[in-house]
Amino acid sequence: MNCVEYIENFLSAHADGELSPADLLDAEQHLRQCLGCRAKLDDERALKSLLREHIEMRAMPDAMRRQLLEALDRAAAEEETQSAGHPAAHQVRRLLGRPVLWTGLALAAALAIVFVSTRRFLPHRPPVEASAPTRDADFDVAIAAFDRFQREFEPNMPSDSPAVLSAAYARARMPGFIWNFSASGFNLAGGRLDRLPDGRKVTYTFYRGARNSILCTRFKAGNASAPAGQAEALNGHIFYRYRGYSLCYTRMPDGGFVCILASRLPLDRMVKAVKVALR
Amino acid sequence: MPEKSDSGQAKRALFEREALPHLDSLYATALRLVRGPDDANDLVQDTVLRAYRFFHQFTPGTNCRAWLMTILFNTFRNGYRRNSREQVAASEEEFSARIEAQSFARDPAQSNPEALADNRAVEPEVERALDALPEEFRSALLLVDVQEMNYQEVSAALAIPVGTVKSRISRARAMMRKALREFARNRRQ
Repeated sequence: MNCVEYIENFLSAHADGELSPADLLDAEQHLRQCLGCRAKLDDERALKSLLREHIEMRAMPDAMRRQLLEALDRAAAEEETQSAGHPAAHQVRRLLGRPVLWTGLALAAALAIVFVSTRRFLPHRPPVEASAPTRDADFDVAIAAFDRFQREFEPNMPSDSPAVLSAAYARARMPGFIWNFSASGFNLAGGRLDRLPDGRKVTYTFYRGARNSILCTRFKAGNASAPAGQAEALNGHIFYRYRGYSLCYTRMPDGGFVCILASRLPLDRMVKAVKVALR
Repeated sequence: MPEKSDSGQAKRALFEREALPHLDSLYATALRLVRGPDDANDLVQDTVLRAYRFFHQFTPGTNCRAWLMTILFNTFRNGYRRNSREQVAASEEEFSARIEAQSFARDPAQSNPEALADNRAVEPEVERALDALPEEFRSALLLVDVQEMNYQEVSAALAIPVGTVKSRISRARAMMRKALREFARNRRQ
């Protein structure tokens, strides 16, 4: 492989981790003998980071989010009505074979679209209660991970010290704050960066004590407010008893991240550990 | 309104859990495709309603954000393209000309030495360079570098072969680099 071939056909895919194993071997072999192309690869990766760091990703304004949830409510209700009182779609298709009827249907669909897109000028209904399923889903992510990692936790991020782990999280554009529970007898066991099934990045930071452990799970969770059903609150850290676990839920100030601490500790000991760590 | 059936409720709950966490990503991407917040809002709303209607086609456990982006770009191609951002270049040549013109139109904030020393001074330049990219290059770059999607997912979203994703990314980065160099050179003068 020569430099022109590397730059034209391999460089971007190399920086994006998109080369096949065979191409990757070829590319690495070329880079071992070519300082110039190695610098180009560094440059390509730096450009990727520059974009990631400097492109503003504006969050959807709350008012728009409310309108959207309302429209979704209406769409769900319409779907329910149709499935309750109308023939199935394939029957409709069989019945409405003639072009003139299709035209009518298209017109109705167009009117429906106009209706949906003009809805934002109409008065608001109160926002739908979306927090319950979201809360359960978020909490379930945290406790499932806790159970898994209590059996076996293997860090996949540099975890030599809290500072090293924090820097590694920050490089992955995840919150870098590391709790210090050592005064309560829990020591940092390490950190992991994974992805949730829907593709969201998630970090797991695990703290081990003599008999118990604490897992800190962080991921982006939109703009939802703190879930209802709290047992106690402390400066924005909200505690819950949930399915036999003690949880501490915190909405982080930047980036729409939530932090969920999960443990089998009794709730009062969990609150105390957080209190001491915040001191 | 009729009583909600169990399956309807389950669908709604699953949709909220899988799809709604990606609203910000959809909105931020829509803002880069159409003219302003209102059009972006309409595009996202159409996308989400369509996604809800076809949610049975989504495979749980796969990347929901990538699936939603595919619907967003389909919706954009099929009805919103006429509302796309006016300042976007249509070709690489137009992009070069635009960047050259922009690099001479100095932003007063950038003449301030303190602002120049600050890393944040780069931010508007990155934004300007990205905004000036022809749409097909900008979309590919946004999906790969900002939304962190892989080439296969981007290929589905943009309805183009994986090889085309690869070449668009490569050319988009070359254009970005050229624009940023141009801006930096002008700053130093």
